[in-house]
Amino acid sequence: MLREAFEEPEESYGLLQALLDEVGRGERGETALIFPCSRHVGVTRMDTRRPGFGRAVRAAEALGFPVLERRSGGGPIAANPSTLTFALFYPVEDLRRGIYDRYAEGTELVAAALGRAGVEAEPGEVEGEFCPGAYSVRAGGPRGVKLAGLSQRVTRRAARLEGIILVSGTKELAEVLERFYAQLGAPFRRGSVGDAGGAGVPDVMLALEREVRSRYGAVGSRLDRKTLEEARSHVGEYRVATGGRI
Amino acid sequence: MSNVPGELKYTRSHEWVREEGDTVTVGITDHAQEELGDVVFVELPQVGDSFGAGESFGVVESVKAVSDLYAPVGGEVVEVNEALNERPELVNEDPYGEGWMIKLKAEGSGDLLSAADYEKHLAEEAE
Repeated sequence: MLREAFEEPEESYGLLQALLDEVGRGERGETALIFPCSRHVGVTRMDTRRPGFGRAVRAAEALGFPVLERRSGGGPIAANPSTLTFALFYPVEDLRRGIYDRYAEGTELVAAALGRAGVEAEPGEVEGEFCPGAYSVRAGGPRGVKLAGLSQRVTRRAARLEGIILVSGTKELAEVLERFYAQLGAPFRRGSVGDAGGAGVPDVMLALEREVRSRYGAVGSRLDRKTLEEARSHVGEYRVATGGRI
Repeated sequence: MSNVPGELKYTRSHEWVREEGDTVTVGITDHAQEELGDVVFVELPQVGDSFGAGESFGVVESVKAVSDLYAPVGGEVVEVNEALNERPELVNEDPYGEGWMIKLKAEGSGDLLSAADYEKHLAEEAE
């Protein structure tokens, strides 16, 4: 668990990649990672090919949100230091199996952690949500609000289930998402962006930590120099140039 | 039950291989596309790129996940299925036909499974 957001969002993406690689090489077992996000918009490789993407990037940058390409599925997401990243890393025997089980595990875990923080939440899709899909955590049913979204990156030897949890400060996220999705011509309902009510970032981090410890018997560990160096070696891979498709 | 054509060879990471002389055509199996769900984007290498057996040659993005694709045999890419740029859904609709991904000029034979062995592998994995 890292208590402070990275100065640059690329550093967090680099760490997610470094840990996936370490688990894939068998240097690390199942791992959970929790940290506050840096301000950014995250898109998939497919998003970068969509008409209007260049305009969407400029709209996000005008609001102070750099755009990064994330190596997992779904659609555009937005985050700031009041958003949490939560990731589980698994060694895998077969990269084409287990996707659904991991999603079920992750959405249930996040919903339970939010429950510990006093937020009523359940797995499920929300109408008009960003990064739409069945693997969201919501409040208020299908016409309610999204509290968290999950996606996956799978390689031959390791899988990473990762998600963002919207804790507070979501007004600016709704703003940037509305502009971004509008430029892509994609549906988005501003009112679908939720937050954790009165719970703060430390409350939700603690709740996540307790949920992970109780489910897996996990113990805390420090990130060593080698992992951090490997994370830094990836930082140049994610930033999207403004000159995308107009 | 996934479709496993008898004339093809397979990898444990669920790619299929059609051998035609020293050229092999590569795609992902029916089982793989079912597990991935709707494929929305396929990133493939360029003609002239070379890969070792087992090396990642691309990425497939579905509505569920982004995952790597692995070369069943080593070799140089001699053709890429450009149709997948515009119609990635071909991977779901016709994984052994129009959904093929790359053709390699093979160097070596790789660790490939027969259809029967691949079916056995699927059955073991399902247990």
